[in-house]
Amino acid sequence: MARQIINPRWGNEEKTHIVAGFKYDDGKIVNVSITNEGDANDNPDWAEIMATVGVAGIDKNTKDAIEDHNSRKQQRQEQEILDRDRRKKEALFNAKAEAFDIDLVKNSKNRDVKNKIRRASSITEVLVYTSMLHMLEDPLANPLVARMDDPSNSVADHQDKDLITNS
Amino acid sequence: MNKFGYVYVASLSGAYYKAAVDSAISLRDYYPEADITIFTHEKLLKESDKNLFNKVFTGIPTHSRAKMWGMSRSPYSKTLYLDCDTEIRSENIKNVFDILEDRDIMFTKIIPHVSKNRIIDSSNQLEYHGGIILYNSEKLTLELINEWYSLYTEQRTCDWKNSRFSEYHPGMQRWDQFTIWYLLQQEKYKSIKHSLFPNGGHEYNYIYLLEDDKPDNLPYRDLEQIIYHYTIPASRVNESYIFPTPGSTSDFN
Repeated sequence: MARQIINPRWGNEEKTHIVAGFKYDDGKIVNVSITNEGDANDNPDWAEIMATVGVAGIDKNTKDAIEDHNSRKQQRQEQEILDRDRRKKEALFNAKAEAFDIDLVKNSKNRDVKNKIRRASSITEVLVYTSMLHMLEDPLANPLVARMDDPSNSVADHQDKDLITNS
Repeated sequence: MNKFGYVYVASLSGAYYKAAVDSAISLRDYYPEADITIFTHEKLLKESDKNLFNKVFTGIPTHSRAKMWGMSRSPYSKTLYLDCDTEIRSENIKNVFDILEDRDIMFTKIIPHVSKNRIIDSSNQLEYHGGIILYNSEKLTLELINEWYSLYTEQRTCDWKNSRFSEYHPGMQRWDQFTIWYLLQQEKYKSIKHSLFPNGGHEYNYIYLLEDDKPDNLPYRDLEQIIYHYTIPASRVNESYIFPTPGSTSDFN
């Protein structure tokens, strides 16, 4: 069956291997490795490639293939960085959204700490400021807040609370 | 109708509704007396959020640009429309209505290095950003916004090459900013007073990409962020997407 030699390029630095594709009449393409080492000096495929493409042609194909490979590798790496960055931003977005799903955060009047949550640049920061808001306003964490709910509290108590929550 | 107020429109996805609620919370943080209206779908509305808004309208179209539908129904004499994916970060938000003066509609300026596909034709580029819009409720202004919605629908579904837009760059087909640009060229709207916010108004539409550490962003680095404009991740939008149901308001008229 007749076949066409596609894109032969060097398979090693010593130029004793050629890598190419053989495309047959039925459309099938087979990747082949061709050598001229040892007894293979009379390899008819090697001789055909040397006669039709030549060393200069194989050099050029090899250079193009390496450049193409490096370009694809760089694109893949850049895409990976973009994907990682996107995933990180999505995770941060979700963390902020979840923080504001908490009623205590949503209904808090402490806009400074809420703003810290909104402007957080990492999930850790979101957690720190969400926790801070809880420490300031959750009666479980801050007994002063619990005392605020008691109408018998003194003015001093209210001042304490103002100091804490109105940063 | 003599009030000034803020309008959100949340259609298509629960993610937009959630973002609008979060933005309204931030608005209340900095301007507790703000008059706030939301246009959204009944199925998205949460009872607990109703207190956040002065007015709630449901029955809106399930449409990617329902914003224009809602904008044209603003209950205020002066309105600031805000995209849902925004945050208020300054008390200066309360002064925004002073900017309008005797103009009918104002837009913030598109920043070239954070926007794509701005070319309309060989002599025009998009300038008006559609995310933050300040406008009055004069009859012609509301007609303009009405037509903005209906024409956008036509623009998106037309065969561009054989349409009235054929002389313009086909990349414009997806942009509602093109639609408003096109309408403002029409004789009917020649008397509309429209302009950019002073100095482009970037503090009223501080795009999140301006925070990246890039040389192009340097001029914007120290701007006050009155309204911060981010983007909801696509995954978040898609996971809470809603679809039009038979009988829902899908036709503008």
